[in-house]
Amino acid sequence: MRRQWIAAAMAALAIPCTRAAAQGRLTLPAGAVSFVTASADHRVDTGLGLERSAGPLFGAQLDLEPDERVMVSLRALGGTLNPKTPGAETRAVGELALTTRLDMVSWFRGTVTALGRSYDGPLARQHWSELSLGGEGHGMLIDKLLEASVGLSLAPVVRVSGRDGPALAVAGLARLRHSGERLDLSLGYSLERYDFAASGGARRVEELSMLVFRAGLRIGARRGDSAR
Amino acid sequence: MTARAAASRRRCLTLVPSLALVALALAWSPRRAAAQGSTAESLAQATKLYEDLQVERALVLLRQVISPSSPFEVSHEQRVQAYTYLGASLAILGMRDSSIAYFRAALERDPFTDLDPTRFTERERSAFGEARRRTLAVAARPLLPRRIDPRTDAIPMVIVSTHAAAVHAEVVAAGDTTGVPVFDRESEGVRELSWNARLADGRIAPAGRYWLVVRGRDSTGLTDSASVGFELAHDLPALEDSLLPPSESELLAERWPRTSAYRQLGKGVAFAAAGLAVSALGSGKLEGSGRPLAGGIAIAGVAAGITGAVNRWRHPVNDAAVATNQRRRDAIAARNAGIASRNAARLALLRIIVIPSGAPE
Repeated sequence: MRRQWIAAAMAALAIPCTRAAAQGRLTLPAGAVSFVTASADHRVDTGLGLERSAGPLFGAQLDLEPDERVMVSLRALGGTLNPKTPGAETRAVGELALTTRLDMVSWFRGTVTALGRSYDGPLARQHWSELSLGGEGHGMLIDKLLEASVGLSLAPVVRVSGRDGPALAVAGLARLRHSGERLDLSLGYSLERYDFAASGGARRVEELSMLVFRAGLRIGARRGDSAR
Repeated sequence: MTARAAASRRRCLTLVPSLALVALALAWSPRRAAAQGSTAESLAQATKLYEDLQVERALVLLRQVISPSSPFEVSHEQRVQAYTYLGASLAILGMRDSSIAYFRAALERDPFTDLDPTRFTERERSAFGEARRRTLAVAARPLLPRRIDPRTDAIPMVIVSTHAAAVHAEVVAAGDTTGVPVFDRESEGVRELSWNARLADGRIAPAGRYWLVVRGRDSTGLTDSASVGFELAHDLPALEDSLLPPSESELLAERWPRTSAYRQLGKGVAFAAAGLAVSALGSGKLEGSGRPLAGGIAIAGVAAGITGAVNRWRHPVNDAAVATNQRRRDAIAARNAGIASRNAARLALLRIIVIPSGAPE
């Protein structure tokens, strides 16, 4: 399953490069290469009370802008979540997310995200895969300096290894981004909520929230001024 | 008298003056033409008699021509010719002073008057020369109609001074007081000049009415002046009008209003609220001791709002509006440059038409 995700991500990244090559441009499309660090907070209630674990995650992100209206991002994150409540266990988490954003109007863009995530605990490994659709409203908070965006997405397809997928998967996002000539910085807060169907009288609710800081360098020839 | 008869008489009385005017008009026109013809015939006859050395008989005819009681109309040129031949005839008869007087009369009326050495004797020319020495008269010859390219051609002009004098000639636009000097030096006799149809500042003279004014002053203090009028017309394709710069109402305000800073702060607070709203998506069952990460993004949003507000206070210039206005001005300037270029190409096709108007004054 993990191989399939990696293959899908590589294929998605290849699209803009192939498109550029087809247009006679051999240079890399504009974008950014970033270092990412996040503070993750994982919470789950299986009917026995809140189990909370948290910890830092680290990774990298590649953003490509093959078109003035399109941005493709590939993000890899990994780290360890340490227990914060009794009953919680230490787990290693890793994820690979491929997000495509398409500007629809000057203040709104649609998003499609394919995500694979795994949790490795002392007892088992659980793998999640999901496809979510959403939208982001955005605007300049400080002219030419800082863009703010707020988004909401629904994941109609979520698969969790060893159990049925959630009945409801929803995520929210609030992000600030500075996209300068050389530097590309962002700070975002996201929350993913998964409500599973009741089973045996217990209803499992799970959420993962992250405060993500990304610091990147711009690459390639820049096309538009609008930050995303 | 009956009423009808009285009315008929009144009609007759009103008709009489009208008929008289019509008759007078009909009679006057051919008489005028005949009069000019008679003067011309008299001059031709007098000239013939002069050349046949029948000077006394020529004198009689010439005196009839210039006589105030002459029934015939005498043109300016005919009068000058009559004075000239009177002077010449009297010179032949040895009446030098009278000869000089008539020559002076001719010169005063037309300073271009001269004696052809092949037709007049030394004695006549001597008297004529004396008349020129005693008379200071300057004049300009009426311009000939022509069409010139102001970049390569010039308008020829001819002036004259009857004897040595400081002569100043200039072209003056109608209604103007300062002219463009075309001649300013000691001169005697006929001088051919040219004017490049440009004003003192180098610009091509605009269309309109002009005067060629000639002034002379000799060493004895005698002065004279004359002028001849002409018109200049421009022949060129129609020029494009340049665009006016954008008015204040057409430009964007380049400074942010004072309330803009508060709006920046409001945007930051709104974003912070949105961050907290995202955290509210979470389940109440999982809230625990709250969601501190949402507080992080909220603080960042408020900080960004404060930064934006301070930035607006310190730098109230709307850079985007300034840039937009500048782009608009640049676009107009570029279009005006194009118009100027096209107009310059059309101006290269400019031709000036010289239209003589009126007799010398």
